[in-house]
Amino acid sequence: MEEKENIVLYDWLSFTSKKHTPEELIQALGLTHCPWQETKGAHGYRDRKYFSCISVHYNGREDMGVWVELSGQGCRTFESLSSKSWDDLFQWITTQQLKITRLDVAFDDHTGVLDIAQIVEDTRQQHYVSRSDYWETVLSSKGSTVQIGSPKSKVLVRIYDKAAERHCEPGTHWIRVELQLRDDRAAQFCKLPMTVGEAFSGVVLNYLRYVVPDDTDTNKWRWPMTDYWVDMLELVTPIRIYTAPGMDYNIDRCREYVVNQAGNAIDALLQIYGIQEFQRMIKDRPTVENPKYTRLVQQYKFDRLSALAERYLGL
Amino acid sequence: MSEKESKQYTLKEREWVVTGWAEGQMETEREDDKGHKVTVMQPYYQLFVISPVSSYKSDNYSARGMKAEKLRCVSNAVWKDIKPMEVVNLYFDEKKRVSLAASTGISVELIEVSF
Repeated sequence: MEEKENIVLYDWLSFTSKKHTPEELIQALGLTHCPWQETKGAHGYRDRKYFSCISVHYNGREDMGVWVELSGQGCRTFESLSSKSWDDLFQWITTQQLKITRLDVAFDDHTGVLDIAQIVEDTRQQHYVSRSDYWETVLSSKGSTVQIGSPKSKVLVRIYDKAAERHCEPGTHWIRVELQLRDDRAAQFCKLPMTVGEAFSGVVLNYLRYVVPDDTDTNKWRWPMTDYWVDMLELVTPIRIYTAPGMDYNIDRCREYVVNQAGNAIDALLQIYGIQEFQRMIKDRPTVENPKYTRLVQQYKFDRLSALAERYLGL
Repeated sequence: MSEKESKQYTLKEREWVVTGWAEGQMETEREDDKGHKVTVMQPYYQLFVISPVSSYKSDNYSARGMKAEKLRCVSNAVWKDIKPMEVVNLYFDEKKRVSLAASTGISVELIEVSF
C-alpha cells in the first residue's frame, strides 16, 4: 500500500437548514449525480436520503428543518465525488446562515511524532493544561485512547492509536488527534481566517497543551510544552512554534535593549536616512542571524495564532 | 526496470479492481398482504472484485497477496460506466451493498507476481 502522509482532515460535519429542501442541500454538497437512497430517518426525522455515509434527514417536526450529516467516511465521499471543495461548502453554509452542529477536525501522525503510551502516561500524571477538567484514558483491544473534555462539551480532544483500531500491519505508526467541535465552536472554527492546519493548531494551543512540570512556576499554562506537542503543532501548521525551556528572553527584553541601549543611534539614523532606507539597511545587514531573535519572532507568531483562535472561538 | 515492474500498479486505499459482474433472479419466499407464504422472483446484482488482503497479523491470523470478493450491489446501474479490469472506487449503502462504482480511469491486467 502507499506511504501515508501526515495530514489534517475534516472527519465529521453535521449541519441543519430550515430553508432548504433535501434536494437543494444535496445540490449544495455537489453530489446530485450520486445514487441517493430513500431510507428511514432518525432522531425525530421520519425520512432520510442516504449515500455512502452521508445522510440528509427530513420530514421531522416543522421547526426541525433538514439535517445533513457526513461521518468520517462521508467526508471522504464528499472529497472524492463532489464538484465542490470544503471551502465552497463552508462558505455556502456561512452565507446561508445555516447551523453547524458538529465538526470534527483530525490530524494524522504517520511519522512517529506522537507516542500514545507517553501521552497516556502524561495525561494520568496531569502533565497537561486544558480548559476542561474532564479527562479519561481508555485501554482496549483497539489500543489506547485519551480524551480531554467531556462528551457533552463543545470542544473535546481525543487522541488514539488509529493503527491499533484499524488492525494495521505491526510497526505501522498512525496516531490520530481529533478535535470535536459542537454548535457555536464548530461554526466559529469554519470562519477562522487561516488555513485548516493553522486553525487546528490555534484551537489545540488554546485548549490542550502537554507540558513539562516547572516547580518554580505555579501557573501551569506558562510551563514549557513537551517536545512532542511542539513537534506535532509544527507539523500541522506552517509556522514554527517555539518553546525553549529556560531561555528567559522575551519581547520586553528585546525592546528594552533596542530602545534603551541603541535608541539614540537608531533615532539618528532614522532622521538621516528615513524609515524605508533604514529598513533596507537592517534587512541587508551583513551580520549572521541570531537564533535567539528568530525564535522570538516565532514565539510572537505562535502567540498571535493562539490569541486569534481564542478571540474567534471565545475560549 | 523490467517490463513487469513498469506495469505494476499499487492499489490505494478504497480502490478495487473489477473483474466482472453478474445479475439474475432467485426464488424467495415472502408473505403477502393476507399472511400467506408466496414464492416470488427477486433480482440480485453482484460485482466481482479483487483487492489487497488486510496486512493485520496476530498469533492466529496472517494473510498476504490479493483477495477475490463477490459484492452485492443495489442495482445493475453500478456497472454501467465501468469495464472489467478497471480500478474503481466503491461506495456502499448501509447494507454494505455497492451503490456506486466510480472508475479511476486506470485499467490493469493480471500478471504473475511472486510474494
